[in-house]
Amino acid sequence: MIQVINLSKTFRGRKPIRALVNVNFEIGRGEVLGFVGLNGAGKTTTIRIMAGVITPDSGSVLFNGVDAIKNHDKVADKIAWVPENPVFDPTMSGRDFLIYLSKFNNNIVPKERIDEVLSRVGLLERSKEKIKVYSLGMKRRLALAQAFLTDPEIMLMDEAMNGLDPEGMNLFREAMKNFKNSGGSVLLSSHILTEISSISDRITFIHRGETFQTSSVEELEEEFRSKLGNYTYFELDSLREDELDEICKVFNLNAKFDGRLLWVKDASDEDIGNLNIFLVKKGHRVMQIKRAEFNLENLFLQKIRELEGDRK
Amino acid sequence: MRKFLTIVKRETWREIKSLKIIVIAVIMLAIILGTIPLISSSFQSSSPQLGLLVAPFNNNGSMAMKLLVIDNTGSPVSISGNLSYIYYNNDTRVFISNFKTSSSSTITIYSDIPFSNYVNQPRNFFEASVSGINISTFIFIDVSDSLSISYWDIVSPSNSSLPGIAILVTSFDGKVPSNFSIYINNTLAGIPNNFGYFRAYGTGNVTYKYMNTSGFIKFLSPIKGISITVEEVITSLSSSLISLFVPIAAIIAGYDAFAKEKVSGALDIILSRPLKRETVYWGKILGAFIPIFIYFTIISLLSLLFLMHYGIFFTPLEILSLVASVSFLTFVFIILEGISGFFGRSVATPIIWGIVIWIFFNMIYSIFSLVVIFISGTNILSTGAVKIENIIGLGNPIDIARYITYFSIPNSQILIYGVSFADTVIASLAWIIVTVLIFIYLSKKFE
Repeated sequence: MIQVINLSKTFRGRKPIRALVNVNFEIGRGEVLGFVGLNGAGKTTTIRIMAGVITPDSGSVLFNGVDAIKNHDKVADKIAWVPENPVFDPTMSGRDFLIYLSKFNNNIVPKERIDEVLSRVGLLERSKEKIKVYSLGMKRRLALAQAFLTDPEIMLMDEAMNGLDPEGMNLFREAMKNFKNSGGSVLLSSHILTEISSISDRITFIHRGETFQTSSVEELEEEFRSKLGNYTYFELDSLREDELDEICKVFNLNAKFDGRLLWVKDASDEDIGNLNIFLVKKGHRVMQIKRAEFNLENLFLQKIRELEGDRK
Repeated sequence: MRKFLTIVKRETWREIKSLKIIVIAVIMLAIILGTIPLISSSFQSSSPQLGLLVAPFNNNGSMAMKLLVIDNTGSPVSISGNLSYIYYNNDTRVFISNFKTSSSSTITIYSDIPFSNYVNQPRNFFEASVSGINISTFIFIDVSDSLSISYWDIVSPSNSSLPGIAILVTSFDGKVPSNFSIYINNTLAGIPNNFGYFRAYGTGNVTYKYMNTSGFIKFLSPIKGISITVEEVITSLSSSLISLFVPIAAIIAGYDAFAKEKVSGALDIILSRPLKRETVYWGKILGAFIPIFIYFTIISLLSLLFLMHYGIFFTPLEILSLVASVSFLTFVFIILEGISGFFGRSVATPIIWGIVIWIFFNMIYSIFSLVVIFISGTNILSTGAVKIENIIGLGNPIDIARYITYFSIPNSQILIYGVSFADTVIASLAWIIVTVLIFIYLSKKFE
């Protein structure tokens, strides 16, 4: 369906920012691809290139084999983008804005289609109000509505659910599922990694402008088990380095602290009990003790640690 | 084309409703409508503001002076004055003649003193003092060099608070002068430099000099022609106002079209649609251009209607030149603001750039001319300096816009000495092409 090949992009300026170094992935028909990376990793830049908002320095985006960057005006109505920051002309009403956008489609959009998408995102009743009075949630719904306007084959969701209330979240989730079930593909970028892992078929990781892994969720679960499955973590307020050293020596355990979680490898129930007492005696607040279960966030952070370790 | 027109329509409609643009247009309209009655009343006052004093001297021992007053009102002219002869060295004035007329616009004055008495005196002047046409300034004509029978006039009819000036030029021997000077004891402080009312007609190479200069008057090359008209004054005024207001309006429209949407991110969603980037940008430029064009053309037409009320009519060419001037300024400043929108990622940067661009071309640019005049050692009061200033003005879109309007006025080439119509056309095209190329380049480089 869509292939992203060797994308690179540097933002020029007084201090040039190398946003993308080498980004590669592909999304199949009817597939949801999670796109995971830290802030500034290059997710939004990649998505903006795919949406045709900016152009890459090198690399290409192939949509059904067609160069989507060079042929943006021909293929873009099949590639819908739900931006991270939904900013629209505040002086227009939601409906007028959709009518305006619909005129840019290669095929004429019937007026009923406007009502249909407004209804689908729950904005029909307030569609005649000016966008400037819309809440963030309403703007997000409008962003989703404009994405559906063109009857797309792929949707690029860039943190599209940030700031939504539970009802809104549910609406987005359902919309994505229905879209997927009807054969549509989704690139899903979100900070809510539990959301990503529950919806996505596969996940691509990006760090410092470079994609370094694309795996199915099953493969990632397997990887988690092998890497972190025998870990127990303590959620702490803080931990000093000397205290960490003490834990390793006194309890003869392999332990790491990532700023929030104290990860302890191969700890027995007795070790865990003793360690808890030790931490409490040291005056720490132990908020949670848990055996590691598959958690994309933890796996991702572990991967980042590994990558950063390699870099050092 | 459908997509392009959609953008143009949307952008045009948005700017048409822009309060900022409307306010600027209304201020400009108010100034024009407020000024026209003043100009017109000054033209129609009982004291004619246009004076043309012609004083040929015959060589047969008596002096004849012909005074011609152009009367805009159609009513009888009544003026009076006197003519004196001055020995420059000891500042002695010798009264020659009084004159007075109450019905005719042309009078002939004969001197009682034989003409030969004045000949061959070192550094002599004639001084004409005329009342009835608000002459409060003495004009000294240096006749140390021989003069032909030629005439000069300087008129300042634009404002009733400014005196009309007549210059008397005399000739002793009937020869065409090769060089001579006119000294103006200028009490016309505060006269804008682009008002276009300073006119001199004659032949030969003339150097103008001020005495006690406190104002700022352009020194112009003399040409033969008619005296200034109210249309010319108003054209000059309009051109000055256009130079001031249209760039601001264009910068605001350019900011709304590019920087504002670019920085806010509202442009992105449009760019993500199946559109060519160029379609979006050019649609926005045209969409910003049309409202400014419409507003300021309406203002021009309203002004003309208002002027018709005062019996003043413009030629189609003058109207066309005003419209061309507005179009040129609007386009260039929209593009300039569009260019500035590519720099900086905050809202403030393009606004600051817009203000800097406006101040630079309206106020700072003329410093370049002064620097070049200074470096080249040209006398700042010479026509050479005017020529340098006008040629350097070709680098300033605001000056070019002014030149465009001046070309429509008969004989007003005097105001753009050293610059031809072709120069102006080439410079304006160069401005358009260069700014467009820069815009295209930056639109590809910065996203």
